[in-house]
Amino acid sequence: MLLKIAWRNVWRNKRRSLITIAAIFIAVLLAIFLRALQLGMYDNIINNVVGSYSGYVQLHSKGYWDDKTIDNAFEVNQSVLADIQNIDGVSTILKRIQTGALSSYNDLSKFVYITGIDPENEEILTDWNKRLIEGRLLKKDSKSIIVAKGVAKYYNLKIGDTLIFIGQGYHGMQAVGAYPLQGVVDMKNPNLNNYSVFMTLPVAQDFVSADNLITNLVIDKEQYFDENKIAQAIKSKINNQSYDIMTWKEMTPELDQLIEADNAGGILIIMILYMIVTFGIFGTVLMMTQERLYEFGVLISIGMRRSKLMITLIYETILLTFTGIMSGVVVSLPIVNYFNYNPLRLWGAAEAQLESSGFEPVIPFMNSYDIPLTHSLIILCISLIICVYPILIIYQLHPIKAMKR
Amino acid sequence: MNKYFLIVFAFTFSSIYSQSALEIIKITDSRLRGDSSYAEMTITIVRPKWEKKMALKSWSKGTDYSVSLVTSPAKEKGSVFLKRKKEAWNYLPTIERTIKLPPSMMTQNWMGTDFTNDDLIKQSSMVVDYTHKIVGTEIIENLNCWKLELIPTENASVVWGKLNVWIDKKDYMQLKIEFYDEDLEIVNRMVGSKINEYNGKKLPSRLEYYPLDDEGNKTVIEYKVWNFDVSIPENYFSTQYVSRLK
Repeated sequence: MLLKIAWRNVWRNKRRSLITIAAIFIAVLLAIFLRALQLGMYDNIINNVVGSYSGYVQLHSKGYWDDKTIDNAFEVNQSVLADIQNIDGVSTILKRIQTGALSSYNDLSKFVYITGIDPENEEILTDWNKRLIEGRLLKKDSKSIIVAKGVAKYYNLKIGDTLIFIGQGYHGMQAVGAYPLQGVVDMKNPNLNNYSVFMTLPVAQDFVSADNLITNLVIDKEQYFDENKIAQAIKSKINNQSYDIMTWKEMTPELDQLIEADNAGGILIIMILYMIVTFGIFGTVLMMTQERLYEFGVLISIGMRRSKLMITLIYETILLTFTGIMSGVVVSLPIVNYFNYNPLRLWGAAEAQLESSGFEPVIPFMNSYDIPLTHSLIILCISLIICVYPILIIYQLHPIKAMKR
Repeated sequence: MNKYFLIVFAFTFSSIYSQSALEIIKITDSRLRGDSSYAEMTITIVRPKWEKKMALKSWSKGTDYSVSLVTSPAKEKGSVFLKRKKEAWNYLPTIERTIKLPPSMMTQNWMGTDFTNDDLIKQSSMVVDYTHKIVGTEIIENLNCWKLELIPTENASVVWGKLNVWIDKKDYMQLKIEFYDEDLEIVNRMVGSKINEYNGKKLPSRLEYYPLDDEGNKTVIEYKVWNFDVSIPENYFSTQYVSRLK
């Protein structure tokens, strides 16, 4: 009965209702866009750098992280590997050996990071096929190398060209070698793109004269597992004297901090948005209450109980808010979805700025149910709080005064 | 009066000393190098956690030309380090290429040892680039030695701020050298020992080089063969010949 009255009341003054719905609709839409954009960007960064390259957790020999030389490489034994593999949430373990070296081709030279990888296992962490631009990917017994597109561009390399590397090997050995190029990959990260060279683990180990040694053990987690718990579990299982276990936040604190700082800014903007929306909704509610004072007076004087009137008003608010929220979510969904699969590509100064700070200048929207859900609920709460105003008015309403014109 | 006398006395002595200091350095330098030399040596790089041994053959002519060939370990066999005057090349057999060392690489380690490339290329300037002074006498390895202080001349391109050199009075062997940086802080120390006779010349067969900033690090050179005034074909010191050195 009250719901029916509320429904009729909503439709009685279409323009007024429409304004309220529009205010809520725009608020929801903007909030969802803003968050989807921001969280999508972070997600992309984390995915590109952490999820598909450095891994969420890494294990090094003690001291390697501060002094990343090949002399800090270590031999990983099977029992340690098995121990880690048995921990809940660990999906893949990858062995890598990494070293810096001077590369050279014709008259040019450039510093690069050479990473020896196990191509088959690496495939689980990263979809290399998707990253391959030219040529072929590494196979288990490949003797050639693949380079990131920045390196290829610097030397203007073609498949089959031979790159020369000179560096420092294990325990003072010379590390010198010439390797043909068999593929070019896009690492989706400007830093990685400018410095990465990949060879198979045995080839890299031979290059630096470090047979069976690795520098990084990359531990990938299953989705939605907490990397801190995994790190903790590893720490309790293996000998802490000889190994360092680090999560991506410890390895790349700058990335984490950057995201935190940017996120705080985003939340501030959202707060301001909500403030504006609050006053917008409040304005329409205020207008509505004042317009209907006479009506309220009549209803109370003919004997309607104040509490029933209040409930009617709450129903009205919920109806309006709900319509606004639903329309906002419904409209945002296809757009967010579209930009999730077809990320926004930045251009001009913004592109250069993001590139220089080491991020891919694309922003995919985050397609997750909890963004619309959170923001719908927040707005619903805001409307309910605003609803207190007409309720208070009704509570204090003096029918004769209200009906006097 | 007494004071005045002392000053004059000190002055005369110092001038006598400084003249002979230059002479001492000239003699020791020419003895160490000769007109030409051929040496076989092992170099041991000592680090707190590991050691690496390598064997080299080395030819030199005067102060301007020298060439070293690595004979072991197997993986580095055939690597050549060639020095011609102020320039240096590195031949790497694995990539069959000769690389000219750019100025930026001069301060880097030579073949992983504690020496810098600069040390090897500019090693001969002890006579020309420094002013020399005898500051005392000390006994090292049971030998009576002069202690000389070498300060680089103003326009010499030397990385050191000061050198202290101990040279024995009988055979003019450099038994100990201390290297100081521009702030006159000691940075490296070289100690010679196990004196041997090579072609009638007495020389320390074992040199230990300590970079004092890195505790536990040192480089040890041991001379197995050391011949002086041998005839070396001119082309040994050319970039074309490096791949054929044996």
